[in-house]
Amino acid sequence: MSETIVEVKNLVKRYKELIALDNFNMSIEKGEVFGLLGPNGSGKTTTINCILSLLNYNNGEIKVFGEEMKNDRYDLKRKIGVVMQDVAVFDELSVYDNIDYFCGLYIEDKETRKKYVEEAIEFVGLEGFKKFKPKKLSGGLLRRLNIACGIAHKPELIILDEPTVAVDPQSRNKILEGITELNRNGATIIYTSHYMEEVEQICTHILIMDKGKNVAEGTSDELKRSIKNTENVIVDVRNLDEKHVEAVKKLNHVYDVKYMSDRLTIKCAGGRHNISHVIDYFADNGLDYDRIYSELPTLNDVFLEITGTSLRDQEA
Amino acid sequence: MIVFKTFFKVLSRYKFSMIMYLAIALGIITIMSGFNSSGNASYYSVSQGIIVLDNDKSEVSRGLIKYLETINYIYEDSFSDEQITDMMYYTKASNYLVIPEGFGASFLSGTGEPLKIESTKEIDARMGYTVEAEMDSYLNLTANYMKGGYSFTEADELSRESLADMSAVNMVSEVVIQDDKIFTVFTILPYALLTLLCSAVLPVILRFGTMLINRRTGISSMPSAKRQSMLALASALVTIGFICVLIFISSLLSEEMFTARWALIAIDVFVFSMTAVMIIVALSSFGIKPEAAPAITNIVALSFSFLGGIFVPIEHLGGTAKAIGQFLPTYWYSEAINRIKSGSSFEEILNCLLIQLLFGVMVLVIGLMVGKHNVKKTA
Ligand SMILES: Nc1ncnc2c1ncn2[C@@H]1O[C@H](COP(=O)(O)OP(=O)(O)OP(=O)(O)O)[C@@H](O)[C@H]1O
Ligand SMILES: [Mg+2]
Repeated sequence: MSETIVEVKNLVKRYKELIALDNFNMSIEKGEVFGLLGPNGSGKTTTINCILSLLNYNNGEIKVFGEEMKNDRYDLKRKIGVVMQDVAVFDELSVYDNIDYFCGLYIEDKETRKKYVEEAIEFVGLEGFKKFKPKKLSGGLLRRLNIACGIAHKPELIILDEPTVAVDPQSRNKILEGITELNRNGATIIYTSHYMEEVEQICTHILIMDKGKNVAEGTSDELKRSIKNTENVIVDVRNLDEKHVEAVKKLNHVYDVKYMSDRLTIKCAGGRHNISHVIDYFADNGLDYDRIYSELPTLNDVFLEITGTSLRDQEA
Repeated sequence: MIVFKTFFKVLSRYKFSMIMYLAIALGIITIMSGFNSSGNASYYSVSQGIIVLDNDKSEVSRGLIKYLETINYIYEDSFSDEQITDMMYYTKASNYLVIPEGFGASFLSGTGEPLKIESTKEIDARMGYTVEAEMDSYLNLTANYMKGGYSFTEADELSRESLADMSAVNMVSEVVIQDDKIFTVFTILPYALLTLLCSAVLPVILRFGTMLINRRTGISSMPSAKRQSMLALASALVTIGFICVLIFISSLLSEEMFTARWALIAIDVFVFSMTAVMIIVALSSFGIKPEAAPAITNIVALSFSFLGGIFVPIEHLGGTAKAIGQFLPTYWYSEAINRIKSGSSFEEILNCLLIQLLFGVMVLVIGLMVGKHNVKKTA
């Protein structure tokens, strides 16, 4: 039996003329790692801020733990942990004292808090930096501190808004593993990002948003199965003539071909031996190439097919 | 509790500027207490120059002048109007007395309205009144002795003797009020307190109020009202610590403690400091960066002190400055000190205190309203 932790219905948020959220709907079940995927400016942070009652919204309904979320629902806020997109810590305080302060906003008991703070430090791997001031931490370590501050009080629902922006791969992996572990320990996670690889790696349910709208959702596989693109054949080839591009387009199951920067990308819908058809065409015409390989569609292809633009193109 | 604890942890990062501004403050207070401390200033201030034009030349007018001469310096040369104005402007003379012809005769007859001596003095010049008071005392006393049957010569001598003792006492006590260190030292105290608060407490409050920290705290399960009151309480405690030190040092320097007026001044200091705390807590709502604290310290401390009559007596400020000053709590702090000095009633002093608090409450309410609005808008 599943339990709905967050429910957002017909949410509308306007900033003057700009419609940041346009009848947005979302439902998050207990135990999920829920990925909110969308390009910059698609409204991810706005959604989070509305859920947290940090923002007034124009229309819609938000329920958290089955109850209507309001600014003064401190009982509900108690069960939520938030890692904001922008690092919010005290420059004057050490790593330990920062976590202690933010944990102390929820947990009054000293002994419990001490234990929780130590656990959070261990969890993000900052044991060697307890006495450090934030200014002395690298970008990746600072992000980890930000995460520790958000989760130290052991919340049931954890919201992470792009926690891996500007983080080196090592720290990034550590963070992603940590999130999976938090989930295994029982927390429901909302994870926003515009990196689809990350979302694909850890999320059990993915919602793709664009221009404030929910454009598609499901598991990674469901999303990929929902589009007509089933396979992409890629050929690295130099100085290919335009007539060959046109000819490849006419092959069976091929519905779109792009030739850019010495790379031919062939989108196929259905069919089972698409790569060998392409290889045959190149052999028959005596064409030379460097590499040829086949890929399954990615979330980017899902996004591309639904919105007509690429997620990657919009990456800052 | 955590907010309280963290406040002091962050505050401890501002130890250095706190100690520095405390040293500066004490330096200024010490210098201020050095002014007016010369021991025999009282005699100089008692003795006034008086220009006398005696058109009467009777024994009464001569007696009066002789009496005034025991305390003051008399100029009896004939001066032009311009010279007289100059002498009075440069305070060489406090009064210009014209004794009309027939004054002596009218005084001796003791019937009807006696002829008046015309006394010109600078408006606001205290000493001018002192001289008039001396004159009145002599004439009244002499008249009384004469009613008792003494001749003028006897009465004149008796009055001069008894007035000589009294005036010494009167004059000395008059001077003590004038030059008392407690007022000069305590007048400067708001400047010291403002620099201290703005350099140490303000950056801490601003840090808690930065947009990110504020938002981060806003999503926690601690109500923002609770956090704000913790911050206000912590600031108030620190401030009370500051004023205890400042009052103690100022009292030592002015060599006065636990007198009635000392207690009134201490209350004034306390009220002012609480007003300052309210202003500072209100500033946390405007999302100002803590790095701006030193600039605010200078702007607030200097403008409040200057316009509020801390550096320059209120009556010396120009019209506009005075008009603006009246909206500042520092003005009412100084005004309260002035009223304590001149022995005003408790209600009059209380009014000054209430106006300060009113100012603080107004600023605080504006701050809280702006804060509520900002959190929603900037998220
Ligand atoms: N305070 C604000 N005032 C006006 N417009 C805003 C404000 N905050 C956000 N917006 C606009 O609302 C839209 C959605 O912004 P939002 O921050 O939710 O996007 P996002 O998906 O979180 O993007 P990013 O990946 O860059 O964090 C953007 O077009 C942004 O410009
Ligand atoms: Mg965002």
